[in-house]
Amino acid sequence: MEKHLVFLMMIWMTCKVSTLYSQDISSLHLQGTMPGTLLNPAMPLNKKINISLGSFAVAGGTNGPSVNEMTSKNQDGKRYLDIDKLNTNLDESHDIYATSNIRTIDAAVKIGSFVLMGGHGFRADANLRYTADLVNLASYGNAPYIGKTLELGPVADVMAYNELYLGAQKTSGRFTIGLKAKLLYGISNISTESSDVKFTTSDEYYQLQFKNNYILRSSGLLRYNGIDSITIDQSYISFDNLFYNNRGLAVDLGVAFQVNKNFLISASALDLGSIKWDFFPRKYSSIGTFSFEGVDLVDYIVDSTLSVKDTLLDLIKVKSEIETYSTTLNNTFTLGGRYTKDNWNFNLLYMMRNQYGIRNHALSVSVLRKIWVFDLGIQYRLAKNDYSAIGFYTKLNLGPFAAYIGADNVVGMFKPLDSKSASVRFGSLLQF
Amino acid sequence: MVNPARDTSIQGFITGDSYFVVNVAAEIPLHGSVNQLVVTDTLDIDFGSLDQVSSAEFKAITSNDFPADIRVQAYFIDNQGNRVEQLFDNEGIVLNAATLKSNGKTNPGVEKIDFIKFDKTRITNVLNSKKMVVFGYINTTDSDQKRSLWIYDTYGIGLKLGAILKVKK
Repeated sequence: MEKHLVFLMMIWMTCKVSTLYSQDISSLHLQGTMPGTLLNPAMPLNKKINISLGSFAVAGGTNGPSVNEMTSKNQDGKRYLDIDKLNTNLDESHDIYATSNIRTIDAAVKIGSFVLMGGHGFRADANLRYTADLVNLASYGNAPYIGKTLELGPVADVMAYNELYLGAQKTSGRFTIGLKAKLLYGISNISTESSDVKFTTSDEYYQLQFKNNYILRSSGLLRYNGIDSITIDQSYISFDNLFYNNRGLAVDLGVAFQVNKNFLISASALDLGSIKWDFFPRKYSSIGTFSFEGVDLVDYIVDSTLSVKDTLLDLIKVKSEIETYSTTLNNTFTLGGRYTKDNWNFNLLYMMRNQYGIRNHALSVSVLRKIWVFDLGIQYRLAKNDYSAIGFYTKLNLGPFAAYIGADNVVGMFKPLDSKSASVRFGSLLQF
Repeated sequence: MVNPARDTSIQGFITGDSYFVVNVAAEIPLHGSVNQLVVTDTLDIDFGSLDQVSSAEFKAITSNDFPADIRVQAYFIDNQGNRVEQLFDNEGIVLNAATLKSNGKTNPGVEKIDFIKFDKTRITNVLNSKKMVVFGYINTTDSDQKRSLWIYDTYGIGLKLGAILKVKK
C-alpha cells in the first residue's frame, strides 16, 4: 500500500511539473556552502567561516518551440520564421526567459548553533510571453483570419536590482531555521500590467480593428516614441544609480529538518517582497478601440505622399505618463530532500517559481559522488516541453578553497538551437 | 451695411472708387436625361510602393443612388501611351440604376460585391504603368425614351475597396 502511495505521489508530482523553470536547481549540490543558502537560508553550513566569492549563475530558455523548431535558413544562410513548422509547435502562448544572479560576496560566521550571514548580489530577470496568434499573424498575414479576432498582446517583463542582505540561522535540536532580510535597489524595470490586444479583420472589406487594454510600465529602460520606434535605453543603468533609487524590501525564509544522520528535508520561501520604482517611472497605456476604415481611394491614387503604413502606425494611440509604481519580486518556493551515505549524495528538489504572475514548476533529482579532491554530480530536471535537461556539476576542493561549475542542460550547451533551456553556474568558495 | 449704427452725425460720401460686392448663389434643379454619355479622366499613378506584391484580390462593394446605369472601366497606360492592363474584367463594373419611387426620387442604391483578381502578370503590368484612364458610361433610366428625371444632391455612388495582397518572401 505504501509503495502504491509513493508511486501515485510521483505521478502527481510529474503531472504538476507542467511548466519550466530552472534557476538555482544547480544549487542542489552546493548545500553546506554559502550558495546553498540561496536555495534555502536554513540549509546548514559545514564550517565556521563560509565565504562565496564572485559566483555567477545565468539561465535562459523557453517553454515553447526551440529556435530550430520555428525557423529555417534560406539560401543566403539567414533565418526566417518557417510557417510549415509553426502549426505543430505552438500552444496558445509561450514564454522566453532569461535570468542571472551575479554574487559579489556572500559570507557567514557560525557561532555555536547560530549563524550570521550577509552579502550582495546583482540579479536580473526577463520574460517575454508571445501568443500563437501573434506568430501566426507575422507568418501568414491576416488574410487567413478575415472575420476572426486574434489575441496579439505580448507580455514583456524585466527586473534588475541589487540586493544587500543580512541573515541568520538558528539550529535547535534537529531543526534549523533561516532568515535573510534584504534591502533592494532597483536598477531597471519593465512591467506589463495589462496585455489585452484584440485584432480583428472585418469580412466586409477587410477593415482593421484593435481593441486594446494594454498598460506597460517602465523605469529607466524602455522608451516609446511610436509603434515602430521602441528603444531600450540603457544610459540610466550606471553606477550612479545602483544604490540610490527604486528601493524595496524582501525576505527569504527557510526551515530544515534532520530526520536522521543521513536524511535531511527542507523547505523555503524566497524573495518575498517588492520594489517601488520611482526613477523615471513611465506608464504607457493604450486603451480603447482603434479602427482603420481605409484611405480615400482617389486621394491615394493622386497623392504620392499618402502612406497607408503611416496611417496604420498612427492608428493606435498610446498615452505616456510619469507615475511611480511597485512590483513584487518573482518569489520561489522549494521543497527538498537530501540523503547522504558514505561518499554519495542524493537530492530531490521540487521548485515552484512565481514568474511575473505565472507559476512555473520544476522537479529535479541529482546524484553527487566525492572522488579524491573532486565532487562530481549529475542531475535531471523535468519541466514542460523539456524532458532532456541532464546537467552536470564539478567541484574542485583544495583545502579551504574550492571552485565549482555546473550546468543544467549539457545537451543544450552543444546544440543550443535545438535546446529549450540552458544554464551555467560557477564560482569559488572559502571555508574554514 | 452703410452706417449700421444709424448715427446721423456721420456724413458719408460715394466717390468714384466706391463699389458694391454682391455674392449670389443659385440652386439650379437638374432635370433631364442622358443617353450613352461617356465621361473620362486621366490620373497620374505610381504604385512603386507595391512592388513586393506578387498577387492580389480586390473586393469591391459598390452602390448607386442615381437613376442611371453606370459602367466603369479603367485602363492602365505605359510611358508610350500603350494600354497595358485594365482594372475590371470584360467591359467593366456595372452599377445598376437605383429604382424609382412614385415621387420621382430613387430608393437607396443596393450594394453589389465584385471580386477582382490580379495575378503576377497583371500586377507587373500595373506596376509598369504611369497613367490610369477612367471611363464612365452613363444612361439614365428610360433615356432611350427620352424620359427626364430629377437628380438630387443626396444621390451618390459608393465604393468600398478591400484587398488581399500576397507579398513576395
